[in-house]
Amino acid sequence: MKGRYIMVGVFVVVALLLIGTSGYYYYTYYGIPRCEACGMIITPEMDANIKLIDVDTNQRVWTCCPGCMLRSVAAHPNVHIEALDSWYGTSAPKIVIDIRNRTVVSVTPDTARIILGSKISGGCASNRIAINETSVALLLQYGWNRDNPLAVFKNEVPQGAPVLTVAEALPGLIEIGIQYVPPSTTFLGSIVVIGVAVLIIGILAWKKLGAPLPKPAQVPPAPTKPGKEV
Amino acid sequence: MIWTPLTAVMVILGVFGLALMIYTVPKAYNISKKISKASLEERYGLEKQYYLLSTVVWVVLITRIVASILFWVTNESLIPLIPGAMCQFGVNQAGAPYSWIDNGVKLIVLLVYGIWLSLDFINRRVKGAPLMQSLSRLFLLLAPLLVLDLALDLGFYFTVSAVTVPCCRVVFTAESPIPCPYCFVFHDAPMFIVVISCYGLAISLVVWSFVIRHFIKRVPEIEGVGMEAIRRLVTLALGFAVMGTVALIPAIMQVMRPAVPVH
Repeated sequence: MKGRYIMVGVFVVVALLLIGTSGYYYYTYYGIPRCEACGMIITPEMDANIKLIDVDTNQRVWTCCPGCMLRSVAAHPNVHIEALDSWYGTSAPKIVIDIRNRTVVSVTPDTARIILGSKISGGCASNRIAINETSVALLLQYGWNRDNPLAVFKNEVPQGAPVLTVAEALPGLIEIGIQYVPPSTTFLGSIVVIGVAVLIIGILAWKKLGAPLPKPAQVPPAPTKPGKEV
Repeated sequence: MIWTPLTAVMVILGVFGLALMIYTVPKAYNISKKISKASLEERYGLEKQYYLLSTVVWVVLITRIVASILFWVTNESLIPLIPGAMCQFGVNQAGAPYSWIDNGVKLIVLLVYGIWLSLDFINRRVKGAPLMQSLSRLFLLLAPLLVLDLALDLGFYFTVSAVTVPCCRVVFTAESPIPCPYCFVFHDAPMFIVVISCYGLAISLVVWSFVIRHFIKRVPEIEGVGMEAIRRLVTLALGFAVMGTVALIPAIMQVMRPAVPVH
Protein backbone atom coordinates (compact mmCIF):
# COMPACT_ATOMS: atom_id res chain seq x y z
CA MET A 1 0.00 0.00 0.00
CA LYS A 2 2.85 2.36 0.95
CA GLY A 3 4.63 1.52 -2.34
CA ARG A 4 1.51 2.44 -4.31
CA TYR A 5 1.31 5.83 -2.60
CA ILE A 6 4.99 6.46 -3.38
CA MET A 7 4.40 5.55 -7.03
CA VAL A 8 1.40 7.89 -7.30
CA GLY A 9 3.43 10.58 -5.52
CA VAL A 10 6.34 10.21 -7.97
CA PHE A 11 3.95 10.43 -10.92
CA VAL A 12 2.21 13.53 -9.56
CA VAL A 13 5.49 15.30 -8.71
CA VAL A 14 7.02 14.59 -12.15
CA ALA A 15 3.79 15.60 -13.90
CA LEU A 16 3.59 18.87 -11.95
CA LEU A 17 7.26 19.63 -12.63
CA LEU A 18 6.84 19.03 -16.35
CA ILE A 19 3.63 21.02 -16.66
CA GLY A 20 5.16 23.81 -14.55
CA THR A 21 8.24 24.00 -16.79
CA SER A 22 6.13 24.01 -19.92
CA GLY A 23 3.85 26.68 -18.45
CA TYR A 24 6.85 28.81 -17.48
CA TYR A 25 8.22 28.76 -21.03
CA TYR A 26 4.77 29.46 -22.42
CA TYR A 27 4.41 32.43 -20.09
CA THR A 28 7.90 33.62 -21.09
CA TYR A 29 7.01 33.42 -24.76
CA TYR A 30 3.84 35.43 -24.26
CA GLY A 31 5.27 37.82 -21.71
CA ILE A 32 8.43 39.04 -23.48
CA PRO A 33 8.29 40.74 -26.87
CA ARG A 34 10.16 38.95 -29.64
CA CYS A 35 11.48 40.12 -32.95
CA GLU A 36 8.67 39.50 -35.38
CA ALA A 37 11.09 38.72 -38.20
CA CYS A 38 13.50 36.27 -36.54
CA GLY A 39 12.07 35.48 -33.10
CA MET A 40 14.93 36.88 -30.99
CA ILE A 41 13.97 38.05 -27.48
CA ILE A 42 13.80 41.86 -27.39
CA THR A 43 16.18 43.29 -24.81
CA PRO A 44 15.64 46.78 -23.27
CA GLU A 45 18.48 48.05 -25.53
CA MET A 46 16.76 46.73 -28.66
CA ASP A 47 13.49 48.22 -27.47
CA ALA A 48 15.15 51.63 -27.09
CA ASN A 49 17.06 51.53 -30.38
CA ILE A 50 14.35 50.83 -32.96
CA LYS A 51 10.75 52.03 -32.77
CA LEU A 52 8.79 50.71 -35.73
CA ILE A 53 5.10 51.61 -36.06
CA ASP A 54 2.74 49.97 -38.53
CA VAL A 55 0.84 53.08 -39.66
CA ASP A 56 -2.11 50.99 -40.92
CA THR A 57 -2.87 49.58 -37.48
CA ASN A 58 -0.99 52.16 -35.39
CA GLN A 59 0.61 49.22 -33.56
CA ARG A 60 4.23 48.88 -32.60
CA VAL A 61 6.22 46.08 -34.23
CA TRP A 62 9.25 44.80 -32.30
CA THR A 63 12.47 44.11 -34.19
CA CYS A 64 15.93 43.21 -32.93
CA CYS A 65 18.25 44.79 -35.51
CA PRO A 66 18.23 47.05 -38.60
CA GLY A 67 18.06 43.93 -40.82
CA CYS A 68 14.91 42.59 -39.18
CA MET A 69 13.54 46.14 -39.10
CA LEU A 70 13.42 46.10 -42.90
CA ARG A 71 12.43 42.42 -43.10
CA SER A 72 9.29 43.29 -41.11
CA VAL A 73 8.17 45.42 -44.05
CA ALA A 74 7.24 42.14 -45.77
CA ALA A 75 4.34 41.85 -43.31
CA HIS A 76 3.80 45.58 -42.66
CA PRO A 77 4.00 47.51 -45.96
CA ASN A 78 3.40 50.95 -44.42
CA VAL A 79 5.67 51.80 -41.53
CA HIS A 80 7.21 54.72 -39.69
CA ILE A 81 10.60 53.96 -38.14
CA GLU A 82 12.69 55.88 -35.64
CA ALA A 83 16.11 54.34 -35.04
CA LEU A 84 19.14 55.32 -32.98
CA ASP A 85 22.55 55.38 -34.62
CA SER A 86 24.38 52.19 -33.51
CA TRP A 87 27.56 54.12 -32.60
CA TYR A 88 26.37 57.41 -31.12
CA GLY A 89 23.10 56.17 -29.55
CA THR A 90 21.16 59.01 -27.98
CA SER A 91 24.05 61.46 -28.58
CA ALA A 92 22.94 61.86 -32.22
CA PRO A 93 19.52 62.70 -33.69
CA LYS A 94 17.23 59.78 -34.51
CA ILE A 95 17.21 58.32 -38.01
CA VAL A 96 13.65 58.57 -39.32
CA ILE A 97 12.50 56.28 -42.13
CA ASP A 98 9.08 56.24 -43.79
CA ILE A 99 8.05 53.36 -46.01
CA ARG A 100 4.81 53.19 -47.99
CA ASN A 101 3.71 50.19 -50.06
CA ARG A 102 7.07 48.58 -49.35
CA THR A 103 8.93 51.50 -50.97
CA VAL A 104 11.17 53.96 -49.13
CA VAL A 105 9.50 57.39 -49.13
CA SER A 106 11.94 59.29 -46.96
CA VAL A 107 15.08 58.78 -44.89
CA THR A 108 16.19 61.57 -42.56
CA PRO A 109 19.08 62.27 -42.70
CA ASP A 110 19.73 60.86 -46.16
CA THR A 111 23.31 59.99 -45.16
CA ALA A 112 21.97 57.06 -43.08
CA ARG A 113 23.38 53.65 -43.99
CA ILE A 114 22.66 50.04 -43.06
CA ILE A 115 25.67 47.80 -42.34
CA LEU A 116 24.38 44.38 -43.29
CA GLY A 117 26.89 42.11 -41.53
CA SER A 118 24.32 39.29 -41.53
CA LYS A 119 25.15 38.80 -45.22
CA ILE A 120 28.54 37.54 -44.03
CA SER A 121 27.89 35.98 -40.60
CA GLY A 122 24.25 35.00 -41.02
CA GLY A 123 23.32 36.53 -37.66
CA CYS A 124 21.38 39.63 -36.69
CA ALA A 125 24.15 40.56 -34.23
CA SER A 126 26.31 41.73 -37.14
CA ASN A 127 23.83 44.34 -38.40
CA ARG A 128 24.16 48.06 -37.58
CA ILE A 129 22.56 51.33 -38.63
CA ALA A 130 24.68 54.48 -39.00
CA ILE A 131 23.69 58.12 -39.31
CA ASN A 132 26.69 59.17 -41.44
CA GLU A 133 30.02 58.05 -42.92
CA THR A 134 31.95 58.69 -39.69
CA SER A 135 29.64 56.39 -37.78
CA VAL A 136 29.93 53.76 -40.55
CA ALA A 137 33.75 53.90 -40.34
CA LEU A 138 33.75 53.62 -36.54
CA LEU A 139 31.28 50.70 -36.53
CA LEU A 140 33.24 48.85 -39.20
CA GLN A 141 36.46 49.37 -37.24
CA TYR A 142 35.31 48.69 -33.66
CA GLY A 143 31.91 46.99 -33.94
CA TRP A 144 30.35 48.82 -31.02
CA ASN A 145 30.89 51.88 -28.88
CA ARG A 146 31.82 51.04 -25.30
CA ASP A 147 30.56 54.45 -24.19
CA ASN A 148 27.10 53.91 -25.70
CA PRO A 149 24.95 52.39 -22.92
CA LEU A 150 22.31 51.44 -25.47
CA ALA A 151 24.66 49.41 -27.71
CA VAL A 152 22.65 46.30 -28.58
CA PHE A 153 25.26 43.89 -29.91
CA LYS A 154 28.68 44.06 -28.27
CA ASN A 155 30.64 42.34 -31.00
CA GLU A 156 32.66 43.25 -34.07
CA VAL A 157 31.17 43.62 -37.52
CA PRO A 158 32.49 40.92 -39.90
CA GLN A 159 34.97 42.02 -42.57
CA GLY A 160 33.40 42.68 -45.94
CA ALA A 161 29.99 43.57 -44.48
CA PRO A 162 28.07 45.50 -47.18
CA VAL A 163 27.19 49.14 -46.44
CA LEU A 164 23.89 50.02 -48.12
CA THR A 165 21.36 52.82 -48.21
CA VAL A 166 17.94 51.94 -46.79
CA ALA A 167 16.46 51.84 -50.31
CA GLU A 168 19.21 49.47 -51.47
CA ALA A 169 18.85 47.11 -48.51
CA LEU A 170 15.03 46.98 -48.46
CA PRO A 171 14.17 44.74 -51.47
CA GLY A 172 16.52 41.89 -50.48
CA LEU A 173 15.39 41.96 -46.86
CA ILE A 174 11.70 42.01 -47.82
CA GLU A 175 12.42 38.91 -49.88
CA ILE A 176 13.78 37.12 -46.77
CA GLY A 177 10.69 38.34 -44.90
CA ILE A 178 9.22 36.85 -41.76
CA GLN A 179 10.81 33.47 -41.09
CA TYR A 180 8.23 31.76 -38.90
CA VAL A 181 6.19 29.16 -40.70
CA PRO A 182 4.33 26.39 -38.89
CA PRO A 183 5.90 22.93 -39.29
CA SER A 184 4.56 20.78 -42.11
CA THR A 185 1.68 18.37 -41.54
CA THR A 186 4.05 15.50 -42.40
CA PHE A 187 6.30 16.53 -39.51
CA LEU A 188 3.39 16.87 -37.08
CA GLY A 189 1.86 13.63 -38.39
CA SER A 190 5.08 11.76 -37.71
CA ILE A 191 5.06 13.05 -34.12
CA VAL A 192 1.50 11.73 -33.70
CA VAL A 193 2.58 8.33 -35.10
CA ILE A 194 5.47 8.21 -32.60
CA GLY A 195 3.03 9.17 -29.84
CA VAL A 196 0.61 6.39 -30.72
CA ALA A 197 3.51 3.91 -30.93
CA VAL A 198 4.72 4.89 -27.43
CA LEU A 199 1.19 4.53 -26.08
CA ILE A 200 0.86 1.06 -27.61
CA ILE A 201 4.26 0.07 -26.19
CA GLY A 202 3.11 1.33 -22.79
CA ILE A 203 -0.11 -0.70 -22.91
CA LEU A 204 1.63 -3.85 -24.15
CA ALA A 205 4.36 -3.54 -21.50
CA TRP A 206 1.72 -3.06 -18.80
CA LYS A 207 -0.17 -6.15 -19.93
CA LYS A 208 2.75 -8.48 -20.72
CA LEU A 209 5.68 -7.49 -18.49
CA GLY A 210 3.60 -7.36 -15.30
CA ALA A 211 2.46 -10.98 -15.83
CA PRO A 212 4.30 -13.65 -13.76
CA LEU A 213 7.13 -15.50 -15.44
CA PRO A 214 6.19 -18.96 -16.83
CA LYS A 215 7.36 -21.65 -14.44
CA PRO A 216 9.57 -24.37 -15.94
CA ALA A 217 7.53 -27.53 -16.65
CA GLN A 218 7.77 -29.90 -13.68
CA VAL A 219 8.71 -33.53 -14.36
CA PRO A 220 6.21 -35.87 -12.63
CA PRO A 221 7.85 -38.31 -10.15
CA ALA A 222 8.44 -41.82 -11.52
CA PRO A 223 5.65 -44.24 -10.47
CA THR A 224 6.79 -46.69 -7.83
CA LYS A 225 5.68 -50.33 -7.75
CA PRO A 226 3.48 -51.34 -4.78
CA GLY A 227 5.24 -53.35 -2.12
CA LYS A 228 8.70 -52.05 -3.03
CA GLU A 229 8.58 -49.08 -0.68
CA VAL A 230 11.01 -49.08 2.17
CA MET B 1 34.02 30.43 -20.26
CA ILE B 2 30.91 32.37 -19.27
CA TRP B 3 30.58 32.32 -15.48
CA THR B 4 26.96 32.35 -14.31
CA PRO B 5 25.52 30.61 -11.24
CA LEU B 6 24.19 27.84 -13.48
CA THR B 7 27.41 27.26 -15.46
CA ALA B 8 29.28 27.24 -12.14
CA VAL B 9 26.91 24.57 -10.81
CA MET B 10 27.43 22.50 -13.97
CA VAL B 11 31.21 22.72 -13.63
CA ILE B 12 31.07 21.83 -9.92
CA LEU B 13 28.83 18.83 -10.67
CA GLY B 14 31.27 17.77 -13.40
CA VAL B 15 34.35 17.97 -11.18
CA PHE B 16 32.48 16.31 -8.29
CA GLY B 17 31.36 13.46 -10.55
CA LEU B 18 34.84 12.98 -11.95
CA ALA B 19 36.34 12.77 -8.46
CA LEU B 20 33.80 10.17 -7.36
CA MET B 21 34.38 8.21 -10.58
CA ILE B 22 38.09 7.95 -9.77
CA TYR B 23 37.09 6.51 -6.38
CA THR B 24 34.44 4.06 -7.59
CA VAL B 25 35.85 2.49 -10.77
CA PRO B 26 38.80 0.64 -9.08
CA LYS B 27 36.47 -0.57 -6.31
CA ALA B 28 33.95 -1.91 -8.83
CA TYR B 29 36.76 -3.64 -10.72
CA ASN B 30 38.05 -5.18 -7.49
CA ILE B 31 34.63 -6.55 -6.54
CA SER B 32 33.82 -7.93 -9.99
CA LYS B 33 37.20 -9.68 -10.14
CA LYS B 34 37.27 -11.21 -6.64
CA ILE B 35 33.65 -12.13 -5.97
CA SER B 36 33.49 -15.38 -7.94
CA LYS B 37 36.47 -16.94 -6.10
CA ALA B 38 35.77 -15.42 -2.70
CA SER B 39 35.37 -17.51 0.43
CA LEU B 40 32.39 -16.87 2.71
CA GLU B 41 34.41 -14.48 4.86
CA GLU B 42 35.88 -12.63 1.88
CA ARG B 43 32.44 -12.41 0.35
CA TYR B 44 31.16 -10.72 3.49
CA GLY B 45 33.98 -8.17 3.22
CA LEU B 46 33.26 -7.57 -0.46
CA GLU B 47 29.55 -7.19 0.30
CA LYS B 48 30.36 -4.42 2.78
CA GLN B 49 32.60 -2.78 0.17
CA TYR B 50 29.84 -3.10 -2.39
CA TYR B 51 27.28 -1.29 -0.20
CA LEU B 52 29.65 1.65 0.13
CA LEU B 53 30.31 1.57 -3.62
CA SER B 54 26.61 1.35 -4.37
CA THR B 55 25.87 4.41 -2.22
CA VAL B 56 28.57 6.44 -3.98
CA VAL B 57 27.36 5.31 -7.42
CA TRP B 58 23.81 6.35 -6.50
CA VAL B 59 25.14 9.81 -5.65
CA VAL B 60 27.11 9.98 -8.93
CA LEU B 61 24.26 8.79 -11.13
CA ILE B 62 21.58 10.88 -9.47
CA THR B 63 23.77 14.00 -9.77
CA ARG B 64 24.34 13.19 -13.46
CA ILE B 65 20.59 12.85 -14.02
CA VAL B 66 20.03 16.18 -12.25
CA ALA B 67 22.86 17.67 -14.35
CA SER B 68 21.21 16.41 -17.54
CA ILE B 69 18.06 18.41 -16.65
CA LEU B 70 20.11 21.43 -15.55
CA PHE B 71 21.99 21.23 -18.86
CA TRP B 72 18.93 22.43 -20.80
CA VAL B 73 18.09 25.09 -18.22
CA THR B 74 21.68 26.39 -18.24
CA ASN B 75 21.83 26.53 -22.04
CA GLU B 76 18.51 28.39 -22.16
CA SER B 77 19.88 30.92 -19.67
CA LEU B 78 22.99 31.53 -21.83
CA ILE B 79 21.01 32.70 -24.89
CA PRO B 80 21.00 36.43 -24.03
CA LEU B 81 24.74 36.33 -23.27
CA ILE B 82 25.81 35.13 -26.72
CA PRO B 83 25.50 37.73 -29.52
CA GLY B 84 23.31 36.46 -32.33
CA ALA B 85 21.90 33.47 -30.44
CA MET B 86 18.13 33.40 -30.32
CA CYS B 87 17.75 29.85 -29.04
CA GLN B 88 19.91 27.01 -27.72
CA PHE B 89 21.11 26.35 -31.27
CA GLY B 90 23.26 29.49 -31.00
CA VAL B 91 24.59 28.47 -27.57
CA ASN B 92 25.55 25.07 -28.95
CA GLN B 93 27.34 26.71 -31.85
CA ALA B 94 29.35 28.80 -29.39
CA GLY B 95 30.40 25.64 -27.52
CA ALA B 96 30.94 23.36 -30.54
CA PRO B 97 31.96 20.56 -30.93
CA TYR B 98 31.48 19.43 -27.29
CA SER B 99 27.97 20.89 -27.11
CA TRP B 100 26.52 18.82 -29.96
CA ILE B 101 27.82 15.49 -28.61
CA ASP B 102 26.75 16.53 -25.10
CA ASN B 103 23.20 17.12 -26.39
CA GLY B 104 23.07 13.53 -27.65
CA VAL B 105 24.54 12.09 -24.47
CA LYS B 106 22.11 14.02 -22.27
CA LEU B 107 19.17 12.48 -24.12
CA ILE B 108 20.16 8.93 -23.12
CA VAL B 109 21.61 9.32 -19.61
CA LEU B 110 18.34 8.73 -17.77
CA LEU B 111 17.65 5.60 -19.80
CA VAL B 112 21.12 4.11 -19.29
CA TYR B 113 21.86 5.16 -15.70
CA GLY B 114 18.31 4.18 -14.69
CA ILE B 115 19.04 0.55 -15.63
CA TRP B 116 21.79 0.35 -13.03
CA LEU B 117 19.77 2.27 -10.43
CA SER B 118 16.66 0.10 -10.79
CA LEU B 119 18.67 -3.13 -10.60
CA ASP B 120 20.56 -1.92 -7.53
CA PHE B 121 17.25 -0.88 -5.96
CA ILE B 122 16.12 -4.52 -6.26
CA ASN B 123 19.51 -5.88 -5.18
CA ARG B 124 19.34 -3.93 -1.92
CA ARG B 125 15.98 -5.48 -1.11
CA VAL B 126 17.07 -9.09 -1.60
CA LYS B 127 19.08 -11.01 1.01
CA GLY B 128 22.70 -11.74 0.08
CA ALA B 129 22.89 -9.06 -2.65
CA PRO B 130 22.75 -11.61 -5.50
CA LEU B 131 23.33 -9.00 -8.23
CA MET B 132 26.52 -7.66 -6.66
CA GLN B 133 28.86 -9.05 -9.35
CA SER B 134 26.56 -8.17 -12.26
CA LEU B 135 26.11 -4.63 -10.97
CA SER B 136 29.84 -4.11 -10.48
CA ARG B 137 30.44 -5.26 -14.06
CA LEU B 138 27.56 -3.17 -15.35
CA PHE B 139 29.03 -0.12 -13.64
CA LEU B 140 32.37 -0.75 -15.35
CA LEU B 141 30.47 -0.93 -18.65
CA LEU B 142 28.77 2.39 -17.82
CA ALA B 143 32.04 4.05 -16.87
CA PRO B 144 33.03 5.16 -20.42
CA LEU B 145 29.63 6.84 -20.90
CA LEU B 146 29.91 8.47 -17.50
CA VAL B 147 33.42 9.76 -18.27
CA LEU B 148 32.21 11.05 -21.65
CA ASP B 149 29.22 12.74 -20.00
CA LEU B 150 31.45 14.44 -17.40
CA ALA B 151 34.23 15.37 -19.83
CA LEU B 152 31.79 16.85 -22.34
CA ASP B 153 30.13 19.00 -19.67
CA LEU B 154 33.50 20.35 -18.54
CA GLY B 155 34.71 20.78 -22.14
CA PHE B 156 31.52 22.56 -23.19
CA TYR B 157 31.22 24.98 -20.27
CA PHE B 158 34.92 25.85 -20.37
CA THR B 159 34.74 26.44 -24.16
CA VAL B 160 31.50 28.39 -24.51
CA SER B 161 32.18 32.11 -24.80
CA ALA B 162 30.40 35.26 -25.96
CA VAL B 163 31.35 34.87 -29.64
CA THR B 164 29.05 36.04 -32.43
CA VAL B 165 27.02 33.16 -33.82
CA PRO B 166 24.51 32.97 -36.67
CA CYS B 167 20.95 32.29 -35.53
CA CYS B 168 19.22 28.98 -36.21
CA ARG B 169 17.22 30.40 -39.14
CA VAL B 170 20.40 30.19 -41.23
CA VAL B 171 20.22 26.39 -41.04
CA PHE B 172 16.50 25.83 -40.53
CA THR B 173 15.02 28.00 -43.26
CA ALA B 174 11.34 28.20 -44.19
CA GLU B 175 12.00 25.40 -46.72
CA SER B 176 13.54 22.99 -44.19
CA PRO B 177 11.51 19.81 -43.67
CA ILE B 178 11.92 20.15 -39.89
CA PRO B 179 11.91 23.31 -37.76
CA CYS B 180 14.72 24.28 -35.36
CA PRO B 181 14.16 21.75 -32.53
CA TYR B 182 15.15 24.24 -29.82
CA CYS B 183 12.81 27.00 -31.02
CA PHE B 184 10.13 24.41 -31.61
CA VAL B 185 10.25 22.88 -28.13
CA PHE B 186 11.26 25.78 -25.89
CA HIS B 187 9.62 28.76 -27.62
CA ASP B 188 7.01 27.85 -30.23
CA ALA B 189 5.25 25.05 -28.37
CA PRO B 190 6.58 24.50 -24.83
CA MET B 191 3.89 21.85 -24.25
CA PHE B 192 6.23 19.56 -26.21
CA ILE B 193 8.49 19.59 -23.14
CA VAL B 194 5.75 17.58 -21.41
CA VAL B 195 5.22 15.34 -24.46
CA ILE B 196 8.90 14.53 -25.03
CA SER B 197 9.69 14.06 -21.33
CA CYS B 198 6.66 11.81 -20.78
CA TYR B 199 7.43 9.65 -23.79
CA GLY B 200 11.10 9.51 -22.81
CA LEU B 201 10.19 8.43 -19.28
CA ALA B 202 7.68 5.87 -20.57
CA ILE B 203 10.24 4.29 -22.90
CA SER B 204 12.94 4.35 -20.21
CA LEU B 205 10.67 2.66 -17.65
CA VAL B 206 9.73 -0.05 -20.15
CA VAL B 207 13.40 -0.68 -20.98
CA TRP B 208 14.29 -0.91 -17.28
CA SER B 209 11.46 -3.41 -16.83
CA PHE B 210 12.79 -5.54 -19.69
CA VAL B 211 16.26 -5.53 -18.15
CA ILE B 212 14.90 -6.47 -14.71
CA ARG B 213 12.92 -9.32 -16.29
CA HIS B 214 16.06 -10.51 -18.02
CA PHE B 215 17.89 -10.57 -14.68
CA ILE B 216 14.99 -12.36 -12.95
CA LYS B 217 15.44 -15.22 -15.46
CA ARG B 218 19.16 -15.36 -14.66
CA VAL B 219 18.91 -14.88 -10.89
CA PRO B 220 15.62 -16.40 -9.63
CA GLU B 221 16.24 -15.14 -6.05
CA ILE B 222 15.17 -11.66 -7.10
CA GLU B 223 11.87 -12.79 -8.65
CA GLY B 224 9.55 -11.61 -5.86
CA VAL B 225 11.02 -8.12 -5.48
CA GLY B 226 11.79 -7.87 -9.19
CA MET B 227 8.25 -8.67 -10.37
CA GLU B 228 6.82 -6.18 -7.89
CA ALA B 229 9.22 -3.54 -9.23
CA ILE B 230 8.30 -4.38 -12.84
CA ARG B 231 4.58 -4.05 -12.10
CA ARG B 232 5.17 -0.59 -10.63
CA LEU B 233 7.48 0.50 -13.43
CA VAL B 234 5.12 -0.54 -16.24
CA THR B 235 2.17 1.09 -14.49
CA LEU B 236 4.19 4.33 -14.24
CA ALA B 237 5.25 3.90 -17.89
CA LEU B 238 1.62 3.59 -18.96
CA GLY B 239 0.74 6.66 -16.89
CA PHE B 240 3.46 8.73 -18.57
CA ALA B 241 2.54 7.41 -22.05
CA VAL B 242 -1.10 8.45 -21.49
CA MET B 243 -0.04 11.82 -20.09
CA GLY B 244 2.27 12.42 -23.06
CA THR B 245 -0.49 11.57 -25.51
CA VAL B 246 -2.96 13.85 -23.73
CA ALA B 247 -0.38 16.68 -23.79
CA LEU B 248 0.21 16.08 -27.50
CA ILE B 249 -3.15 17.65 -28.40
CA PRO B 250 -2.52 21.12 -26.86
CA ALA B 251 1.11 20.89 -28.02
CA ILE B 252 0.07 20.55 -31.66
CA MET B 253 -2.47 23.34 -31.18
CA GLN B 254 0.35 25.57 -29.91
CA VAL B 255 2.35 24.89 -33.07
CA MET B 256 -0.53 25.42 -35.45
CA ARG B 257 -1.26 28.78 -33.86
CA PRO B 258 2.10 30.10 -32.61
CA ALA B 259 2.01 32.44 -29.66
CA VAL B 260 1.96 36.12 -30.53
CA PRO B 261 3.81 38.11 -27.88
CA VAL B 262 1.59 40.42 -25.87
CA HIS B 263 3.04 43.91 -25.87
